[in-house]
Amino acid sequence: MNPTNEGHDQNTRESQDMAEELEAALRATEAGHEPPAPTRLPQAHADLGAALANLAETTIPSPSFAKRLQEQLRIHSGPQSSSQPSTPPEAAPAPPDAPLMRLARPARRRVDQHPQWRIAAAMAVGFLLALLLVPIARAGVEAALGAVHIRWAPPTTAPGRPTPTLLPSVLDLAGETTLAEAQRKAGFAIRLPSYPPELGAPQHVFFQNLGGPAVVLVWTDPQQPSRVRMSLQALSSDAFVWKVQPQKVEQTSVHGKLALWLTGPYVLQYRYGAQISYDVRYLVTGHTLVWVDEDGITYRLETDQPLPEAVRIAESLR
Amino acid sequence: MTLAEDAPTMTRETADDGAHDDVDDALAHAAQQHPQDPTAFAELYRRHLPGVYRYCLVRLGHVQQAEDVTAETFLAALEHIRSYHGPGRFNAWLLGIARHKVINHVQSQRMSVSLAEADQVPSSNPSLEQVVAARLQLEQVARALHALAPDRAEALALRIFGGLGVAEVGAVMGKSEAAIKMLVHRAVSDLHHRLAFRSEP
Repeated sequence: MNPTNEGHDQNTRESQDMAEELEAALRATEAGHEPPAPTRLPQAHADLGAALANLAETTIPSPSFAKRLQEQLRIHSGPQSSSQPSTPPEAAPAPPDAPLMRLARPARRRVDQHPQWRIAAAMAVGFLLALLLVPIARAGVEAALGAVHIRWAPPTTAPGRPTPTLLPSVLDLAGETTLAEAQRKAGFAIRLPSYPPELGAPQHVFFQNLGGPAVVLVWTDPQQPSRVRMSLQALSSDAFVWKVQPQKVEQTSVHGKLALWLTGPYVLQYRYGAQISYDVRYLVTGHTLVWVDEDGITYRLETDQPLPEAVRIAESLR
Repeated sequence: MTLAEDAPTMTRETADDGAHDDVDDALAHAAQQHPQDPTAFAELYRRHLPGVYRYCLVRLGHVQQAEDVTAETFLAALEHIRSYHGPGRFNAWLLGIARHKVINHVQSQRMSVSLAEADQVPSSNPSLEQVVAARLQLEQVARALHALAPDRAEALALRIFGGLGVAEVGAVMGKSEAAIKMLVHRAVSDLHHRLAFRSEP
């Protein structure tokens, strides 16, 4: 190799190293971390990359434009464009942070087709990272409250294994039973919300062994039984669920104790040993309030109601 | 053992793609299966509006034009949602549409307004350090990007403002990941020189 080629190769390698360092700086900034100190990349270039990434994050379209376009898209969807040329006030588009979609319910998949279903050992109760003070999810940050663990960077699919379709609804969980039978198996008192007053008993009750007993109570829309109005999951301290990439996590309180408010949609899935189970997971489309009661039972309340209503429901458990 | 230590090893790229794309794919599937129900696409719109808008704004340098092209992008995506086959690349598919819309817009407009504005950037711009510290203005960056090689500007816009990963930018531009990293690096380097040059009195 002549000196000219050697010099060219050296320059190429240096450029590649600098490109890698810039990418690392961009990823760190996007994840909310301090970018690593560059060794080859000029610091000014790393700073500029970080500034650009921060600029991108803080640039948002105007709310009025977002709303206009949302309405335009709604009008272009399906038959509304011909049957509803004008939008009645009550059908005004939801704001960007409005309650989220519900998916149609597909054919039921049974999780008890997988007899190996067991979940990993219990995790320590209720530690919360200070980063949760920041209401914006950051990739790679983890936190836990009771049996609920939150991860912004999701797990990879098991090698050589296709990713199965998400269960679109909590109604697709296996283990449906009666309230009395669930109470008998659970080993802890199943508490029901007394608010809203007209709520009544849940229409569906599921019992699952998620490393420890877990009970899922589901209230559906009386006018549309396939639509979930609200669900409440009670998890013993040995159970374990895994929430992946919620859009936003905020601190709140239930009966004066720490609680978390998570904004969807995100994937809820469970863990088997050191592996993430891809067999039981579903798309959470509403918001979730997570808290732990005085008996160490973790509750997950999924609802499309705003936070104050969710807290009121949580504090009404009897 | 902590949760993090116990978790499967992963790279940031696969990590970022995983569940985010699961949700996108589930929503896209719902939008394809129920085209008359706007809720699924409305959620996709809500999730991806910022990235598409930022990309359009940094490529066009003009808020009104960025809004127009963003709207065109989502309307085209809604119309052609059945042509998305995934898996796991909805964001890249959407930004691919936005890219074509931007190119068409630029060709029709010939960028007369923005280029004219770019030439009128006052020489008393703040120094690079001040620019970095004082939160760069996106339209200013957009003007500077017009002076860069098109591939470099495109790679930077998709990677940083469109919010795509390196592999996704590569898929949109038809280039390798290594090539994309190099293009972004050179774009930042060029941008640095251009902004620094402009900062001189």
